[in-house]
Amino acid sequence: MVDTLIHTLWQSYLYFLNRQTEFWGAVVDHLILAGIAIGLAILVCVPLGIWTSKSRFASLTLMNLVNGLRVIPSLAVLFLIIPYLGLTSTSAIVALTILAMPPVLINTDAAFRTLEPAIIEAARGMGMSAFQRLIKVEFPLAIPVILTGVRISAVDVIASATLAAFVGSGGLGIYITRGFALYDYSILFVGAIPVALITLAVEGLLALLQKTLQPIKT
Amino acid sequence: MAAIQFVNVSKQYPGTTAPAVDNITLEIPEGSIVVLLGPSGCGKTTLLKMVNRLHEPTSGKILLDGVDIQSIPVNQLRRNIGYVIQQVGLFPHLSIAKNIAVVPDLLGWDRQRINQRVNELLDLVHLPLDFRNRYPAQLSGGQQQRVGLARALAADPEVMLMDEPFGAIDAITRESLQDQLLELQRRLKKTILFVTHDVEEALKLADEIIVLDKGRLVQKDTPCNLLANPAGDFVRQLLNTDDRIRQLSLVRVETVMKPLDSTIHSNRLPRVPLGTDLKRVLSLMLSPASDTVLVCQEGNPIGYITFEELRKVGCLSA
Ligand SMILES: Nc1ncnc2c1ncn2[C@@H]1O[C@H](COP(=O)(O)OP(=O)(O)O)[C@@H](O)[C@H]1O
Ligand SMILES: [Mg+2]
Repeated sequence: MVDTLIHTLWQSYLYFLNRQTEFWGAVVDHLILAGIAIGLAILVCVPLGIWTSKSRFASLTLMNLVNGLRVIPSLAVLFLIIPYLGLTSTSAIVALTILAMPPVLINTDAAFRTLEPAIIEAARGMGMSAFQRLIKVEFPLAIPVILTGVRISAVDVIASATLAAFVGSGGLGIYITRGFALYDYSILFVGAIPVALITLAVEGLLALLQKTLQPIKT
Repeated sequence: MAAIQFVNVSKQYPGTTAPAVDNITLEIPEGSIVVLLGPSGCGKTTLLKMVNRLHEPTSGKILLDGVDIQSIPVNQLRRNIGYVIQQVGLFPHLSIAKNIAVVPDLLGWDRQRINQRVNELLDLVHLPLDFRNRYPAQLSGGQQQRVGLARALAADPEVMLMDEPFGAIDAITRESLQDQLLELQRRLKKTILFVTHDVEEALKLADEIIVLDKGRLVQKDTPCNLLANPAGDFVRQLLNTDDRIRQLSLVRVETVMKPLDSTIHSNRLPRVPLGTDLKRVLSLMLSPASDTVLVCQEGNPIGYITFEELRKVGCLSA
């Protein structure tokens, strides 16, 4: 059992050595795809989350919509989109973005909703405008919680970006589809192991970032 | 001119059946500490927050130095009013220096002026200068509220609103903060509207006390008058005046009097012999109003008592 695993991993390593250009290209594609999706999710969901935290209407409609969306698996999203956007990287990015959105939205909403009322009242009482409050007080205090959402999204998206290979958009998923097609686990690992490592690395980096942005607590 | 005037001010929150503040007309004299006193829910906070427009009155108006506050842009109004709340509400992500500098920052002061002002204020509230770079979470509750006070004083506002600022602080620290506020007030002469439900605190700090009950003004008087002439059972019970007066009657003048000095012009002041109790002194202070009473030995003045001495007597904090 262990012998075969080590043997397979060795095969994976050889496969990697022989195709380094392709491999690093796939890593880059993978990161770009995931990065774009997470970036878009942040761009869309942070403002939306601020809105839902402050408006009952927005919160009722949007949060329900998002909770509905979460039920649909990303693979299904991808196949739902293909008829409209074709077998393109646009389809992959749209699917991944939809996947990345809920955690960012939910955490942004929660972050702003749970700001300490006394702090907000002090900010108002001192004569900060709504915008000044947002920039100088609310946002800095919300960032750690928002980042938690980003971490959850990032982990999801980096793993799911392997699906992009189904629509021909590259990324580390190419080794997984290829491995399946050829019934060759060693090729599959060339995709799966780096995905796991990247996920861990990104998670660690974001955790570090979160820690440095946390207000000092003792 | 009164610094703050309430003219027929009422406030009813949506969805409630009774007004939280009911037709209050009131003048807060410049340079004095006026305490809003009353049981929880009587409308103290609501009345206070209408001054910096965190709440808007349902009817009536509020004037600041004779100007209707509705005619002042709201954030400009707030930047010119110091605001201190029980929960302090310091910004946890900003250093103490930056917390204190918030309003000067909003007012666009230059960096050097702000820096200097922050040092001045830390000094004023008796905090060491190396607190500048600390963060709120690294301070004790009492220290945090000192910073809260410094922050409210930062742009040197004429009016301060303080909503139970020492309510969440342990008794010993609270007393030292109260003493410090009085010391500050002697130097700064702000107009302070101070909310508390703590009778001792009100008696200790107030130039005037305003007693509220269910949103209505019940009595507005000096601490001295309030003790001696409570306007009805509500005030009598709230202040526990009977007990306090009884306790004053147990203390004799020689235990609290101050030796005579050149600042006292003794001609027309009421006089009492040694051995008189403080209840008698209190009544002399009221009729005709005189804040000083002389203590005599065999007809010769040897000391004096002011209401300050009565305040300091343990019996006011029964
Ligand atoms: N935002 C609000 N909405 C509805 N009712 C309120 C609100 N704030 C205060 N009240 C009510 O108004 C009354 C006065 O409250 P408040 O001014 O906070 O009293 P106090 O500060 O004297 O304890 C209370 O009955 C309270 O329940
Ligand atoms: Mg209150």
